Amino acid sequence: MLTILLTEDDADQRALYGDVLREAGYDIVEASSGRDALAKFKAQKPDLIVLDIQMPEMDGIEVLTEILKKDRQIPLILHSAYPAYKANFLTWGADAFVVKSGAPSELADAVRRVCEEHGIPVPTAAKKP
Amino acid sequence: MSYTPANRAYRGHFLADSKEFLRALGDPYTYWPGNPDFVFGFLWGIPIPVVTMTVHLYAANIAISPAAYTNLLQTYPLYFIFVLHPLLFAIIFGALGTKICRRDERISELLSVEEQRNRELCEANARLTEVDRLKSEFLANVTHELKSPLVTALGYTDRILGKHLGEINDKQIKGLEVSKRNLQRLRGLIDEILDFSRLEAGVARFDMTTVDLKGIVAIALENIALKARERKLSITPHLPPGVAAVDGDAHKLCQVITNLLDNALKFSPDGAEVRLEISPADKQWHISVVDQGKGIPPHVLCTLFERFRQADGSLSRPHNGVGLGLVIVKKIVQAHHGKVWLESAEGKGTTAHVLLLAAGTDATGEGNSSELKEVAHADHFTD
Repeated sequence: MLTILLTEDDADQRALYGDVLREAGYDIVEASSGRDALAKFKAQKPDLIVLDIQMPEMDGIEVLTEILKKDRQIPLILHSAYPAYKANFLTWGADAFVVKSGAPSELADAVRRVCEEHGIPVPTAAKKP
Repeated sequence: MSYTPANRAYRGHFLADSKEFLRALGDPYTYWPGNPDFVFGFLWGIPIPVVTMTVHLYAANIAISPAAYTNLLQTYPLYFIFVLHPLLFAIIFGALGTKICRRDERISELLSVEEQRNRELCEANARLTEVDRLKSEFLANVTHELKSPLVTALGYTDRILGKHLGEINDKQIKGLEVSKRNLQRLRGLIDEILDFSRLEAGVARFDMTTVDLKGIVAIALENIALKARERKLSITPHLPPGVAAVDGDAHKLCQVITNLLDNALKFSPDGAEVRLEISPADKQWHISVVDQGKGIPPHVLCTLFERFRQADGSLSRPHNGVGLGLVIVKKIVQAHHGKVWLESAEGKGTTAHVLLLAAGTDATGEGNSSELKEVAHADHFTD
């Protein structure tokens, strides 16, 4: 089972995107802050990480740099309500950037795409009919 | 500035302003021995009569001797020559000095007032710029905070509508669709403010690549298609053959065309036609969006590129929007060294024009092609 670390400071959004990804057949580990994400990254060894960018204390970019220091290969997806970050996500070292536009399935699509790019087998539920 | 002979400067003929001279005569400074011009006049007032007497004797062919002077001096009383004459000189010179001195004082006073005012203006300007920047920053933060919960609500609406959370009936679907449409509209408005505040705060990034305008137009048409269909409006693109390549940020240029089309749709009557044309124009691409709306009166036309302006600012205006569409367009086009303007006649519709440099053209000084020709011409001759 593919494990995704979903980092999101807003509980409602965490529930929403968690549901979407769970429905697509992924195993979800939820983190509510940057520090939480780093701790769970060490403990749970997820296969893919979804990071919110704007978070209190430690933002998504900081978390991303910390994680990339420990594992350069891990697929990372940045997730933000702010479309302008799209210009930078590649330089930060993320694999994809998803705008929170109100269509949560876009995140699941991006996860599937990134997994395919990295040659990670996707659960059957996530595959497009 | 205090007056000293060293900084005494010629400031016009000394008789040029007799009023000033008379005023100086009434100034006690004129008669004060501390006034260097007064002393100057007094000292020169002593030898001048002697010199005059010498010239007089010489002209009359009288031998110059103490006796001759004594003879002459008998004509006038001594005090007349050695007291009144120097005093007269002292007063005239003293008054001239005072006049210049007072004028210098007045000028320096004016200058310092001016300087003070300039300083105040500079400070006020800096303060305003800072306030404006803070406002843009605040706006960016607030809109971001507004967007997060909105997107969550929209996300759940989308999930329920997609029947991921169980079956729903047709009535519920209808209600949720209304809810979704309105949430999307709100998201559009917030995005508009967010874009604007980013551009305004100068933190927006432009990813410059060579892009094909035709591809961008296709995406813009897709963005706007639903709205056009709802209002039964037709958009007819007239595109040139081949590639219309420009150097620019694809996402932002798409926003320009989408915003212009959106405006055209907004102000067109139902069922009308909106024309989108791209044509080559002297190393540039000319994009024009023509609508058949009611047009914009000329006095409003020039204000539309200002922030938060709408042709009809009244509360009862029939069109929505925060009035940032054109400002965003202008900012983006300017960042691409392009030009944007509106052309309108009341009752005849409006045309929005955008000029963008064709790919590979140098942006510096390119706005004026005659200038380029001139440079080329000059080069030709120096060779």
